[in-house]
Amino acid sequence: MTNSQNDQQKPRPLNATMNSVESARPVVRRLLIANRGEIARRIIRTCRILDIETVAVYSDIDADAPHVHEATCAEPIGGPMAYLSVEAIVAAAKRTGADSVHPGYGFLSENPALAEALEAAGIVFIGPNAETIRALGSKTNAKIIAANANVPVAPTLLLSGDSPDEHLNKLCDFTSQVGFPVIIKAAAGGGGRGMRVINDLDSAKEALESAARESLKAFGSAEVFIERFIAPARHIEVQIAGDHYGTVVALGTRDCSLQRNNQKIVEEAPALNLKDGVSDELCQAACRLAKEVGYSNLGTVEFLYSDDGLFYFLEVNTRLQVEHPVTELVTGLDLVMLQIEIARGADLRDILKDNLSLDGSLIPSGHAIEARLCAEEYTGKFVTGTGVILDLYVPRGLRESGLIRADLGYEVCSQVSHYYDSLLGKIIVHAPNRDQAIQLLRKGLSEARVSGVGTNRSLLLHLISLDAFRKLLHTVQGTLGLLPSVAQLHDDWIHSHVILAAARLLDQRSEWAKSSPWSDREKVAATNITYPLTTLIHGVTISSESRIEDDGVSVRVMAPYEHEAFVRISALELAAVGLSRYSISLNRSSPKQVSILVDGATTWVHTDSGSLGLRTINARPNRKTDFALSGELVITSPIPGKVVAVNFTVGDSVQEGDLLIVLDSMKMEHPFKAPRSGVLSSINAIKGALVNAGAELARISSAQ
Amino acid sequence: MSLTSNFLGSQIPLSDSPYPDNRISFEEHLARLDKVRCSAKPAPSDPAAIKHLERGKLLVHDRIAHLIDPGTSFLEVGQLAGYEVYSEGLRPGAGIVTGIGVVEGHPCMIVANDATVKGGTYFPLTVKKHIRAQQIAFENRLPCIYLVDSGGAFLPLQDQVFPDRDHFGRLFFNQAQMSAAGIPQVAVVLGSCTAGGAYVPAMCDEAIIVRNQGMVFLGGPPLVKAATGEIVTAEELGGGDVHCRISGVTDYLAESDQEALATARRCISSLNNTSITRAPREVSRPPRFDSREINSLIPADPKQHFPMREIIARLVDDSALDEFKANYGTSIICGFARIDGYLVGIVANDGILFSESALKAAHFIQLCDQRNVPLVFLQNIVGFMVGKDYEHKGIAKDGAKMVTAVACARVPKYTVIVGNSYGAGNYAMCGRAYEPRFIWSWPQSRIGVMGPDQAASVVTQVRSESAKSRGEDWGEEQQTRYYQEIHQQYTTQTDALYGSARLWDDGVICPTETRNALSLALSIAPFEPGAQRRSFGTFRM
Repeated sequence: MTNSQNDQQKPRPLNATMNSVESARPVVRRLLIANRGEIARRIIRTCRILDIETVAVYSDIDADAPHVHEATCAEPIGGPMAYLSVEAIVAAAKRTGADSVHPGYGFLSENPALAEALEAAGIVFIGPNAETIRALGSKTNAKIIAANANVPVAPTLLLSGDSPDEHLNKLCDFTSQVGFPVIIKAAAGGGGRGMRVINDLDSAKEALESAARESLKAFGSAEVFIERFIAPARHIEVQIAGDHYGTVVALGTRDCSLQRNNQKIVEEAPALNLKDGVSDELCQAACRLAKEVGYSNLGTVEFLYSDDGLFYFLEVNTRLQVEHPVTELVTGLDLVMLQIEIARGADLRDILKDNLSLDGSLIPSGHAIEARLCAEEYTGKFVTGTGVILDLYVPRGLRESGLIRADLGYEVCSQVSHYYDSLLGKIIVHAPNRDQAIQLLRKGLSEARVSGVGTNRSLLLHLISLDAFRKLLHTVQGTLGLLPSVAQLHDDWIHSHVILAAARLLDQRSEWAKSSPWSDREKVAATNITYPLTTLIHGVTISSESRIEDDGVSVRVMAPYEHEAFVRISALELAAVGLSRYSISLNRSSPKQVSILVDGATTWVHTDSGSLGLRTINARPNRKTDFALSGELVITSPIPGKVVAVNFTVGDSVQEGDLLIVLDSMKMEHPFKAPRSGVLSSINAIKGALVNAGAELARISSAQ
Repeated sequence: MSLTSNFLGSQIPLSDSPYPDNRISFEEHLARLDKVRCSAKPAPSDPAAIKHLERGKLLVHDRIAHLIDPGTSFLEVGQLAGYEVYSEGLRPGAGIVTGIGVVEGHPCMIVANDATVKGGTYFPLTVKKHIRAQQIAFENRLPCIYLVDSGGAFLPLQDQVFPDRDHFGRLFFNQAQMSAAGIPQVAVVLGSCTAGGAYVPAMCDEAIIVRNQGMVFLGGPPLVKAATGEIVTAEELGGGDVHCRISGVTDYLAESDQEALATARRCISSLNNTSITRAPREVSRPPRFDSREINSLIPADPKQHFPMREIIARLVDDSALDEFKANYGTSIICGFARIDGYLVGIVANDGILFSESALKAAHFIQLCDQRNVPLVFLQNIVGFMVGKDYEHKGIAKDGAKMVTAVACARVPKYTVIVGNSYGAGNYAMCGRAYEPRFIWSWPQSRIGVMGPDQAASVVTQVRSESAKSRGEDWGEEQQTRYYQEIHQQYTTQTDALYGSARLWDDGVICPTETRNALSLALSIAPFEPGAQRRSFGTFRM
């Protein structure tokens, strides 16, 4: 910031500035949020402070979502994918009289068409202008801009407009200069799709073709480019802000190296353990790049940092990032407020004058870490969870005392749909130093719980507890090597099974049984009965026998998971409806608290190391789901009739409840829905054909 | 119960003679009981059990563990039935396990065939035990769950299992009567269920069957072939699929024992019988003295007296007894106490029965009946006093008053034979014939018309006089041998295990198990304070 000198000489109060020029500047009084989930709620929160009315938009399945209830008013926009429709958003803004639109992240946030359409309609877009979005949206173009701004860029080979044979020849030349490995990327891409790492020329042709195919399918453009593969590398990014007057500031660095398949899991600010001066160099480079395009509003410049101290430009995100809270916590800024003020035409020098040091840089205070809590469970592979949230808890004490911040998109009874991103919310901590922040995050995550859908809580706890993470040794490419082994996962599952086996002995099913001597532990110990339990966890069946002893419960897990445990357990209280808390000591270790929520055949066990939904098979059978989980499921028609609709073809993946086939019989339509998820292995029903009672219509085999 | 005045102290120096010897003697009884109990379950090497498991079936005790609510007790009834009774060498239990367990929060009677014992066929004592379980269910309004895996009547003994009132037909009569009285009847067909046995599921309100395991038919494939020449497999004739899809004999088809038992739990979970009120329970307090000390209190010689207050002090809550007429008719102890939180009236022998003791007990039984307080009888009785003075004073009519009171009292009655149970004392103290809800014996206890010494003397004397009148030469030696024979017979037949094997009681229990058994039994009795009291029979005044 070169103009900071002026500010020192002539301080101007922010409010006075605003008032004096209000008429000339865009007004943001009624803001439509073109998003959902936690970010919509996050934006509403700031709008409340600024006394801005908010308009929530919602798809059919989000009609009861929390962001809908929290906004000043809400507007339906159509089907599940309507958040991606520029027309629907602009129409909603017009209908509701919104004077501005905040796009959040994802969906239309980096689509220049929205910015353009809004401009045409005279509505303020909270973000950079369409031109900037478009210029930086192409990865190849962004690289050229970066190079022009003297920002380090990894050696790159652009392949636009050439024939495939020429591609290969160019690749040969390129690799003879920079060596292997190299990476192919989609020019229009993001999120890892279309990416291929090439280690030698033999695999290059095939990789080039498949990357182009995938890119075409995902982004509508087959254009790919090749760059030197920087690995191992850390993902370091710089939060930048620019205003309409050419001022650009860097609001500090973030380290987002903990990723899986190029999806960030844990982010922190500031980025630590960089070579001396690199932090400043990164910030300066980011600002140069932003100035090059006249960037206004907030954005993020992403870099790969290799341990030799060099860094390479990756891309620019022209929007608010998921991980913006870590920057907020270490800078004390409200980034959404900053976005709105910039859009209103505020001068960054005024807004930030209290936050910047004399040389225009920003000194972060302490350390902040964010963990993304996702409806995604790691079971050896990543399994996305859907369903209704039965219970959602982030430690109240820590939240109320301000030690942790929880930005959640869902509440109890919210529906988690497979239509949207699996992010349930974020748990963010701020502490004087990184070790303390990790400690606090562990505490927050170990006491948090979500019942109803599987989450990555266990995985997050596993990763942030690793020595490699504590010592900042993890890299973007190395995260996969840090995932828990199958044996570790099984240990966790057996652990949860053992807790459930012990806890269910305390849980009586009627008021009479609770107060009668039948459940007296000392009497039950004398009767010497072993109670069986079989649970199903991600396709793994675990059986055990438990016995009440004088001072606890002994649980014997059967082969192949042979394991014996002695559990001391006492019921603490009913924490919420259907949720019981227990104090548990395993094999005479110090007692810990666990919570258990029973939801029909599924029981959610929450420990300090994770949450698990166990299907108790022997307690409540449900043949459709429990006993037909493996093998083929045959769907037959109970009545004769005519096939009027066949909605899938052989090989399609179907979700439980998907409408497969419709039969017309006795003047009634008879729908056949998938009794469970899987792959359609055969379909005998043909549209228009007549079928007899008992005829086979389709088969579903287990999804792999 | 917090007053100290009703607290039963203990004056026994347990470390002094003869108490340590008593304990050694008593522990021999306990060890014997334990051994017999252990033999009720099949050994791992038992061929029948191995075959059973190979078929994918659960053993009967595991079936019960799958059925009942985790973390709840199981009160077994008639565990020793058939022990050393039949030449076929049945394991204790007579091929059937019966008892009370909690299913989905409801106390239920579980009647489970053990197919590893003679194919689960019904011996006379199997029938008796099954009917006894149904009677307990009827009296306590317990839903019945039948785990059927039986080949039906044991044909070689058909004359002892088929024709009479309390034989096989009674099973189905009871099912119909209970269902009519609103007591649910649920069957789980886990194995064969042939001929008469086919009526167990057919007579039930709901029936579950396991595919390829459960079979229900009036006549099996061999009988069908013999009768009509038709050749048919068992599964085609009466398998699960047939009965759930074609005949409608059973209602739910399960793929395994586990699933069938889980389905039975679901059936019970739909019961809406919250209208049954059961006895209120206060906070339970343990006795102030350890019940294990009873082992030392019981003399090795059954003829020796032991102080009943010392026993009561080790059975009731806080060792507290509100004694009624403490100074009158002192050979019987009456009073209010709590057992594991449940209020009871205790009637316990502390010597032979005299007129005053009988009158006091009759009064107290009427009192409990009026107040709706269940009665607990602790039997240690050799009989009523005999002799000219006592007969003249009308001890027979006073004894009759007590017997009338016991017979007509409507409150639930529970009996524990803690010592001797001889003669009319057994009647007055609520023996089996007086329909106590449960009756248990301690392992050293003795039951009979009279004790071995007395019986041997009386019978020898009668035989000797008869010989004399016929002019036979019946010498000292013959007399002694005869005495010993009679003594041996009575010693064998008055043994607690001998009686329990014949289902004269509901089981032999240790002193330390007594509070638990009584508590579980008291907890399931329906509590009907508003119900009309039955009038008592004529008291001969």
